[in-house]
Order: sequence, then C-alpha cells, then structure tokens
Amino acid sequence: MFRHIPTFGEAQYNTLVTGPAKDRPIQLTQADLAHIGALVARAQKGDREAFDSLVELYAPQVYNLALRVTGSREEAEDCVQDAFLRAFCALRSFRGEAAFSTWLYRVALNVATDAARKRARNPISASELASDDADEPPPDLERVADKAPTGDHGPEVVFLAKQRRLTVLKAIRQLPEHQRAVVILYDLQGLSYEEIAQILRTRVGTVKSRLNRARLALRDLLAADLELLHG
Amino acid sequence: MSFDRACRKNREILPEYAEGSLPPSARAQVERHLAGCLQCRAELRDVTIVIGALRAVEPEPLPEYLVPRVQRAVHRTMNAPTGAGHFWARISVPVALVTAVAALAFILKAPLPRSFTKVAVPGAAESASTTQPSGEKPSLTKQPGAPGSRPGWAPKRAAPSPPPPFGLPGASGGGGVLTSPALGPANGSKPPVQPEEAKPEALGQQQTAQAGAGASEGRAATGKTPAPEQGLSAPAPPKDESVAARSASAGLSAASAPQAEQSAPAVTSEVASQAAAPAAVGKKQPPPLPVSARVGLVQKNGRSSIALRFSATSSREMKVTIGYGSARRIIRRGPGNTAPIVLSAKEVGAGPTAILISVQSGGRSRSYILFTPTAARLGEIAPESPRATYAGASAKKVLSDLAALTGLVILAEKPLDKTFVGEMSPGTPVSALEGVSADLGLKVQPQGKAIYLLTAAQ
Repeated sequence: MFRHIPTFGEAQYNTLVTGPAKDRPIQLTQADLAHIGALVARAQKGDREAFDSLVELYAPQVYNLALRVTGSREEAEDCVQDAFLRAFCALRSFRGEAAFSTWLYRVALNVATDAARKRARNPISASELASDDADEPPPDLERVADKAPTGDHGPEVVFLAKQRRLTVLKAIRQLPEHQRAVVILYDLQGLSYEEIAQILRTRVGTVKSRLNRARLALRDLLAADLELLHG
Repeated sequence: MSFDRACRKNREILPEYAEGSLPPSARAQVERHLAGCLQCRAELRDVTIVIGALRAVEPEPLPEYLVPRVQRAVHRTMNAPTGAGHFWARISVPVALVTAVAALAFILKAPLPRSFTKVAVPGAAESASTTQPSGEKPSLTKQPGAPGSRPGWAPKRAAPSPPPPFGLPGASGGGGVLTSPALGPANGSKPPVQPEEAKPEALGQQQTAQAGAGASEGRAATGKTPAPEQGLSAPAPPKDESVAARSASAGLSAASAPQAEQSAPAVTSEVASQAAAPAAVGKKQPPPLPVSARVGLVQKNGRSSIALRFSATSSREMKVTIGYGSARRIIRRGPGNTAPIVLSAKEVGAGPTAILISVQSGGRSRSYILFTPTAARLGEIAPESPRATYAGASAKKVLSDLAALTGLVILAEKPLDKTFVGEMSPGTPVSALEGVSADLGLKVQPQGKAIYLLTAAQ
C-alpha cells in the first residue's frame, strides 16, 4: 500500500538532499597537523605538558563520543578519563600509521562501548545510584538535552528542539552496537567514511553499508515521530 | 528485476542518496526509480528527515572540571614507575607500598551480618554533600561541664523547640555549640576558638586536591623502598591470611614486615560489616551493595595515617570513587570479591575532613563518609569530649565535629539523613559517639584505637 504524501511531490525529492556531513569538529591545517604530530612525539617521550595539550585538544570530541555511546554524562566523564589514561599507557605503541585522532577515537570508542555494555546489563546504573550519594542530579538524557545550546529562540522552539534531540538520542541508543557507533561517528561527530573505517578497522564499504542500515533502522524507530522531527 | 527487488535495492542506498554522497551513476539509477515509485519517495522523505534530525544534535560542551581531572589522573600515572603489567595495576603501583602496609595492618576480621534498612527520617534535605558548606560552625567556649550530668550524649530529638543552649546564639539555626574541656584551658584565659581545622566544608575540594597531590608525594616517600608491582596486581590473599603472607605478597622487605606485624595489633583492627539482602527500599532503587568495609591506622616513620579497604560480595568489577561533584574521581577499580580495594593513606588524605567514598559494583552501590581529625591527632583520642548542644544539626555535622575535636576516626555508612537536637555533656569521646550513634540509629563497631565504623543498626 502506498501512502499519500501530500507535502512531497516528485519535484521535491532532489531538493531534500542534505549535503555533506556536518562540519568537522576540528578543521586542521597542515600546520595544525604538524603541531599535533610534535605534541604526540613529545608526549611519547614523557612530556607531561604535551599530553596535557592533547587532552585539552581532544577531550571535547572524546567526551561527546562517550556521551552519545553511553547516554550518561557521568559515565562519559569516566570514559574520558579512562580513554586518555589508556591512550597514555599505550602511547608508545602508537606509530603514526593512522592519525592520532583516529587512534584516540578507537581507544575512546572501545572504552565507551564497554561502559555502555555494562550499563545495558545493569539498567539501574551505578551513575544513577551515585547521583544520590554525590548530591548530583542524575545525568540522564533529559539533562543532557537541556544543556544543549538553545540560541535566541522562544520557549516553544526551544521545547520542540529539546524534544527532537531527546527523541533522536533515545532512538540512537536502541540501535545495535555496530550501527550506533557508525551513526555517532558520522552524523554526530562528523568524521569521514575513511576515518571511521580506520577507527573500526574495517572497509569503507562496510561503513557505508552499516550507516545506511542504521539510518533506515532509525527511520523505522522514529516512524511515529517524523512529524515532530520534520518540524 | 522485479518491482519489490528494485525497491529493496534502492532502499539500501537511499540514505546515501539523501546525503548526496552517491556516485553519479548510482544517483541517476536511484532517481529513475524514485520517479516511478511513490513508496520509495516517501522513504526518501523519511530518511532525509532522520538525517536532518541527527545532524541537528549539537555537541555538548565539555564540563569545565573534566580536563583538569583527566590531566591529574594522567599525571598520577606518569609519576608511577613504568613497567609491564595490567593497566590498572600500573596505575595502582605508586601506592603499592603504602597499600601493602595497610594490608599488613588488617589482621582482625569480625563480620557482623545485619540487614540494611533505609532510614527515612526528615532532614534528608540537609544531606547536601558532606563537603558542602553546612553553615554550622562550632564555636568553642570554655564552659565547665554541667555537674552531675551524664557523660555522653543526651538526645532531645523529641523536643519540638529546643531550649537555648547556654544562652548562646545559634540554637535556632541548628548550629552546634561546643565546649571542650579537653581542648582549652579551664580558666578561661583562652578566647573562643573557631576550630578552622574542624570545618568539613570546603575540605572536599581541598581534600581531593591533597589526595591528588599527595599521591605523588606518596610515591616520592615510598620511592626509597620501591615495592614490586605485584603488590597490588597479584591476587589478594584470603582475608584471614596472616600478616606475614600479606607482606610476602606485597613484596615487602623481610625487615619491615615484622615491624609492621608488631605495630599492627596496637594501632589497627578491622570489623567487616556485611549487609545482608536488603528490605524493600524503593521501587526503582536496587538494594545497596553488600560491602565489607574496614578502616585502620597505619603507622610509619612515627606518623599515623588512615587506610581503608573495601570488599564486595559481587564478583563484578568494583569501582571506588572519592569526593563528589567536580572533584569526584575514580580511585580504584578491581574485581569485587577477589581482590579487596585498599585505599592508601595518601589517597584518603590527612584530616580533618569529611569525605565521600562510594563503592559501586554490578549496578549497586554503597557510600560512606569518612570523618577524620587533623593528621597530628590521628590515633590520639582526647581525654574528654567537648560540651556540645545542637539544635537540629545534621548527622554529618555532629560526626564531623566529634571527629575533629576528639581525634576519633569515623567511617559512617550512608545515608546519614537524620538531624539532631540534643546536648552532649563532657565525657569520653567514645561515650559521646555511642550516644550520637544511638540517636542516629547507627551501630558503633570499634575498629581499633580511636577508629570506629558506624553502620545502620538493625
């Protein structure tokens, strides 16, 4: 059975193409790359300041990756710490075959995925329990969404934007692990197919295929919310 | 190619098409199909909306405290001796020696099974973190003890409006008024003292910073007698294993082991509190984690420090965190029931402080607050407890005062959500603690000289 789509005619589908992935998190010039390379080399020799600089540089991406994978702010913070500690301990084994960011993303993704698995096994998570003890508000999705930038919009717009974010984040969390990782890395983190392939140690074709399936799965998961998302 | 098959094939690359990343040939093919297929056009619309919604998810700003926290953690690792071994074992190495000494010190074990019941008493609102400002600062005045009054704690919780304590201000604000014969001369020549060192507030951050900085100090101090890595990475011996065996597993020198063995009985002991299966606490809350907690003093080079040890009955990974909020940090991870997690003296830090320690494993957790006196008073118990009157002070406040002013080391199991209205007459610190604990519904378990574990009474 075909559905009637009144707002979407034949002439319109070409205009819906969304264009390339969102801006890269860091637009790096050759000078930047050289600087990062130098930092990594110094950090490998035990330079504390150099590694500190790398932490400052990459912590936002690592944090957001972990946040989207785990769905918990507190868990994400722990993941960032774990990821950088592991990266530091394994830094000597980094030989520059891939970009440092790719290598770090792989470490962070592994850490966050492990945390998400544990969280899935224990639906009432340690973080929720700790929130009572630590007198912190529970780092749930609602609060994560609350903290997202809102800009100068009216309350209705802000509310709808928040609802959209919540809906999307919830759906992402329901994806199978391998699909979730690709969607997060590509659509949320803005990495390229090639970078994701390196992070996941797989082929670009596999990344594309997983991404397509993930988006189709999301389309099914979000079927009831498409009007909200279309806004 | 059948119609369904064409749709299916088209559908697989539709997201790529929507994004505009298909090569021209494939793109033309999709467009040909879309022109004649209403269902796939609907699919394209949906997928496009989904992709747009995904890309509308903005990155969240990084918490300000996170980068310094990570950098501190990395610095601790940097200062650790390098070597092969498991990641966490390497992190643990810097405190291996101190930990080993702590392990030596724990020789007694007396599990006391009990069932945990959540105390639901008004005053939970006051349970802001132990290290948050409570607004209740004890003021010391030198009032002689009331003659004939019972030493210890005289609870007046039933009193709706407590009498003004000795005519001093602060009775309505829940503050405590302390008079300490043990702390000041009886002739009144000494002006009232604000026991700065007794403030639990703002010490959490300090404490954590101290602990962080102290870790490296600890390494420096212990660097003279480096402990082999297996000090912590080796499987922990059974709890009742002998001190000598522990020293062997911890890699201590033969010379230091007997010394520790000698001093251990005098300064430390341990009591395990086994929390049995919980009562129905809440709908969503899982039962608290059964944890065996021990606290002891370690004496080395004439200085005392505190060591803590936690074991969970869960076999899953156990995580111990210290501090709260932005200062919260993971201090240890490890298997829950096979290798007890020992916090070294340096990690626990020197008092006076009230520090939150949370033990998590298998989705459950249990929290404690460690109240400590000044480092100089560790192991030294005051001859007499101060006079104190509280009008609705939090449990944490009272325990914090007691620890700071009497020299007691108190590890109290959360929740500590009761409030106090009562008066403490001069007596022994232990009698004061027992009085306080009785009123709090807490059971006092001595752990050694001046060391007490408070657990929820049955």
